[in-house]
Amino acid sequence: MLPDGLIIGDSHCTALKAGCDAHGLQTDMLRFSGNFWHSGHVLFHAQHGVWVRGLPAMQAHILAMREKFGGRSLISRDIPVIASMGYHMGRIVPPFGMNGHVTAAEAFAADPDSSYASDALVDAYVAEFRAGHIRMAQRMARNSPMVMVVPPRLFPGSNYDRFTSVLSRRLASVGVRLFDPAQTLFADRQGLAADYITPDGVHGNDRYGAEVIGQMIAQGMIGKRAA
Amino acid sequence: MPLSSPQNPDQKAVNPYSALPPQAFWRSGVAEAGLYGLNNLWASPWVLPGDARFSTYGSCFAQHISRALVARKMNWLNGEPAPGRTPAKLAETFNYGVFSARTGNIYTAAQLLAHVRMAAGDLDMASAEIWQDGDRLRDSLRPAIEPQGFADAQDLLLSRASMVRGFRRSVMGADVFVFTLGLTEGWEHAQSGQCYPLCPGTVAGRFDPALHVFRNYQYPEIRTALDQAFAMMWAMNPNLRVLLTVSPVPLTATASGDHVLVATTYSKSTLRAVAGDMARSDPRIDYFPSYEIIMGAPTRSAFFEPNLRSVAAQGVDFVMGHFFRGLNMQAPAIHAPDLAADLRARSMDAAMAAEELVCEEMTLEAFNAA
Repeated sequence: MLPDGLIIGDSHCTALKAGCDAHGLQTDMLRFSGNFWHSGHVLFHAQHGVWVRGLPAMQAHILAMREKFGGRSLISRDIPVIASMGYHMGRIVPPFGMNGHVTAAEAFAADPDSSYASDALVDAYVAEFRAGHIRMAQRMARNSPMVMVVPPRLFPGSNYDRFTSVLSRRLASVGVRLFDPAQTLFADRQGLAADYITPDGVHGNDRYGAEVIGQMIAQGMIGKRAA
Repeated sequence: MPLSSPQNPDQKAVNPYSALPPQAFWRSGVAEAGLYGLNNLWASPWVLPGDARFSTYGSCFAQHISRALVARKMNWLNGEPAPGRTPAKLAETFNYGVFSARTGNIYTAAQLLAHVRMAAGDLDMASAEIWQDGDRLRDSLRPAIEPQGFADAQDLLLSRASMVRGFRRSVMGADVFVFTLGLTEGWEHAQSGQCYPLCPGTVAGRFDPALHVFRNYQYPEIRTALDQAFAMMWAMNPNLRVLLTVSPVPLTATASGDHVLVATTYSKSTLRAVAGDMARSDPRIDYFPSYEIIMGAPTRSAFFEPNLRSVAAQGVDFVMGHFFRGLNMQAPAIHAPDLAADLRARSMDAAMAAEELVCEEMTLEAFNAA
């Protein structure tokens, strides 16, 4: 039996999986650490949909999942995909700020030693370090009903927030459908309340995931598979 | 005063020229020495610390000086570096690392003065024009600084403010401010007096004959602008030394009405005279002869590219060879190494490595659970 959806991405998928479970959606999950994505281990694959280079255990997991899906590619028209990938910014935002660069007017005004990086530069920087993610998301979006869920915006006005916006814009420009909870579900709130955040301080928790998936169901982005 | 004939042959040897070194005579200093025998073209009057910090600005030739300092692993002061880990090609596209801040080319003394005034808070940096370029915006102070222009006015003004901060840092932190004078010709706004690096309507902007005025700055104006600029810079950094040079790159075009060859000679001669006079009148200022090295008779114009304008790489190397030979950096180092920056970088790398380890472990755990 095909699932209601396949969740693919990095550590931000955990909350989405919990949200799907909370709403009774039958989903499978293919989660790799952000660094696996970043290092180029995870690839779009014409036959399997997704493939992981050089990691036999994960390859076996993908093949087993294909089997479960009746031999279909993991990325197919029959299986809605809830994705969250490429937003793992821990590898690019800290180095970007190493020389004091900020991307918001308030941050620039607050620190006289800071430098400002223009929108075009941030865009080019993100494109440089996320080219693989963007290309893969584009191919996934072409081959499946996919929604890319933007992770929670935990630091409004920060470089993290700016990079998240810029990556979202890049993804949208190549045809990836996005759902950004910060612009809908949590639009009227200044940052995310602590009771939506995991103890590590950088991920949405189960409650967050449940609200996000609830909103996606309400907007018709995902739902239970017709019997 | 009439010359008197020597009364005996020995007296002929006693005159102001008799004890001069070979380089004081054209025959021995130039004609017989040949291009690669030119010696002692320049010797810095300053004994600089071994870790002297250099800031570099000016016309397009100035970027060769920046690059040469970096290539020699000398202390080139970058007041506005690219964000960390920016790939070199990307940094270059956005004009990072060309000059000590992202000013773009500063061709004229008037332009330099405007930058210094902004850095000193004496000129409102927001007052300079913003030019529309399709759906993007260009900074009239540096129209080509971003390959596609800016997204909106705030983006542009913040970037301009960042450049001004960087410029200020590069003045305050430098031991030597190297400035390459490029042109006497420029354009100004008729009412505001804003000077432009490029004529509006060429690379960007729109030319309006009622608003945009051609200026061919003359010696006194150039001298006054530089005097003012350096006085403000010394107010920011009293120990700063200024090394002037004149770009040997001819004008691309002249709006003076003269033939471009004649206009180039006027421009370079005037700048050369100003630079030389300033160097002679103030021990904090020196002149390095880039112009002479490339344009002098010994080269027979051999260092120019076929367009007879661009200086070939060999010419740049030749100039910089003389530059480095003339520097005296024998004084003890005075700058403490930037340990804080080093520590920040290492902490960040350690944090990222730790995060990576945690993430990999999470991934493996997830698979074990599955």
